[in-house]
Amino acid sequence: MPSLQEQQQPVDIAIVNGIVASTPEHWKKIVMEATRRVETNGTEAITIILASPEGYTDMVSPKPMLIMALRHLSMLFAENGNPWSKVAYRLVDAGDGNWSFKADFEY
Amino acid sequence: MSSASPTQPDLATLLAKLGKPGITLSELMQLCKQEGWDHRLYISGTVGSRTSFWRRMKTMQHDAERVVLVVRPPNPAAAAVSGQHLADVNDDPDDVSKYLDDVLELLQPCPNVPQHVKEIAGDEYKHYQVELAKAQSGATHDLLYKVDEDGRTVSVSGVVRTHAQRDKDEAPAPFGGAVHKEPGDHKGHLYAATFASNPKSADAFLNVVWEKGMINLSYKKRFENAVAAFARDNPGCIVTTLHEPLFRANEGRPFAMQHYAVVDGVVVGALTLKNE
Repeated sequence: MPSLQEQQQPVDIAIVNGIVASTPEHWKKIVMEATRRVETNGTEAITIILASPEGYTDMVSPKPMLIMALRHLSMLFAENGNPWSKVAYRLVDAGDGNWSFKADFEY
Repeated sequence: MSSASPTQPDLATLLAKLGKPGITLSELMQLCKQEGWDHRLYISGTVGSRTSFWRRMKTMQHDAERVVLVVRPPNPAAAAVSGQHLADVNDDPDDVSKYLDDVLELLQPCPNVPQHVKEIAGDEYKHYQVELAKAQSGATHDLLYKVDEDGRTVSVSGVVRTHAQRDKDEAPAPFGGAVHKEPGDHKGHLYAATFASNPKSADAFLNVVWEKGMINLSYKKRFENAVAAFARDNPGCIVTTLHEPLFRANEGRPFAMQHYAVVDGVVVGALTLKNE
């Protein structure tokens, strides 16, 4: 049985790709925060905020891939008994198509 | 009249600065920072200077840095008061200065432009597996996971080589985005691109608004032509323009644009163009 982190890795990669794809070319730093909550009827809702630490104010919206990857991440953690309440991914363009990132989880 | 709050520029100081040759964008930004001004208050640019306007136009030299500030986001209180003047085309500099002062006094600190927040629900995994496979294919990723005593992921970091296709950079969409465009609208510059040695500098965010085509092609042109003619005929004057788009709350398209001509730091003319 793979560990949570082993299962999580491809999803993290998909999330990073989804974040990058959701933002315009001139954004070299990106913050994405996702907050998860369960509605009273039992359905799950995820609020996504995409922001530019560089101060860009372009209107952006999450691409379907990012939404689905976050849903996947949420399900994965829930299945492991520890659903997160909030995740924050901070990305920096490292050049040549590479993006360094750090993600922090809250429960 | 004007007891400027910490986030509002003092009009006299602002105009005095604009009336001096050589103030640059970076200098004015620094001034705003020092004074605690909201530097998104106005678009302004130097049209003429003590050198010949036309020579500068021809040689396309040094005035790109003179394209100064940007605009304020919607403020209902200011817009409501400004709305009383919509029918005016006021050429009395004293009245215009007083009016401008009134507007400035009413400006509140800019509300944060809300981040785009997207609520999602439901499950849409139909195409995701394909995307997931694509994300994984052909790349080696070395991600570092920090885990707590319960096996929960605390953080993850690393470098990912992306295949993501991003939207190309282009001239900025007018404030508020495409949803606020109305039929026949142009992307209209507040500060005229032709006044800058580098026309791209006029593409600064918030210098572009959704504007009626007729305004962009005709009415505003007449204002710009008049200002340019004045600058041409009076090379000893510092001619600047101030521009203020007026927004209603929660609207991304201005209902009017106010354009001011400033000569040696004094407002000498103003024009309000209704955009609806």
